[in-house]
Amino acid sequence: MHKGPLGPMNQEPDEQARVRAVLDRKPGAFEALVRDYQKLCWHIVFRMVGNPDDARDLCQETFLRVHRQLHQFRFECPLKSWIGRVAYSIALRHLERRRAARVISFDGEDEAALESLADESFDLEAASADEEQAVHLREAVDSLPAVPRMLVTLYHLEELSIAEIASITSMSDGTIKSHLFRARHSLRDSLRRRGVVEP
Amino acid sequence: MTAPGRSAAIAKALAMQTHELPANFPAEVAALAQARASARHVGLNDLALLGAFVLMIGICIAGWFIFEPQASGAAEWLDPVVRAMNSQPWLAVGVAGVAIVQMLTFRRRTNT
Repeated sequence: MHKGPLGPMNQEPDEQARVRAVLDRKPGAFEALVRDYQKLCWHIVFRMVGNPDDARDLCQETFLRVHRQLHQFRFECPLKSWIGRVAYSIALRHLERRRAARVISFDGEDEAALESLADESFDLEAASADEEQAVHLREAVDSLPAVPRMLVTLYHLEELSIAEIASITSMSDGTIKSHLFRARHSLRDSLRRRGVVEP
Repeated sequence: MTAPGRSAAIAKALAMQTHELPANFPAEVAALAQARASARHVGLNDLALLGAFVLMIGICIAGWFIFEPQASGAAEWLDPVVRAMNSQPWLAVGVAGVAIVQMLTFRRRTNT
């Protein structure tokens, strides 16, 4: 269990009340909860499975499981992380059934070598300044493997912290950072191959 | 290891996605979750009811065997039923099953 930034002290003050409202079957309570967290769920599931129809079904399965198991939520982490964890485990199981995902651990990797992958001389912002270049970048992100693609989405789009992503995925901080560095390196290579940036 | 910097360009590219959940997704999921929760609730009630029913039948059968020898001719009106049960036991089981299903169905209708 991750403490510190995800501890109970940092939870939204109305989180217990909203969970209680769902458990008490107050009208509209669960619908509001789904509305608030559907984007997070979609980003995790869709980025992992890649297929929108499968992703919709899996998001539905996620929230049905959340509804069924909400009484087991002990407020040891934010509700957002708990729901994200449910979505991640459902998407991962779906991929494992199709033998389409491998979660690679990068624990103990050489940090200096890894940070060199970041290549700060490469200006990603400039490389995707106009719409056409941004489309190339999106296609490059889409071509990443399932797990890094999801991590990149959570970090750059959802702006979750490394600790929050670790809480959702149960990966170590080092593994997540390694995936992010490697993904950025891979995006740079992909854009260079497309001729978007100078080699 | 320091965390990599966030990129507005990647965020912008990711935000360009064309697929998303339908607008009525929260309402549909909430309705489905409610329906499944109700089904689970009724299922437990039905099991409790069935248990009580079986217990009641058991008490009746036990009472029959305990008090039947003491009764003289009081249960003669049951003889045709007993004979029918002896000759067609599966028919009796079937009739009892239909009766239980009908009772549970009626109860579910009154609950919803």
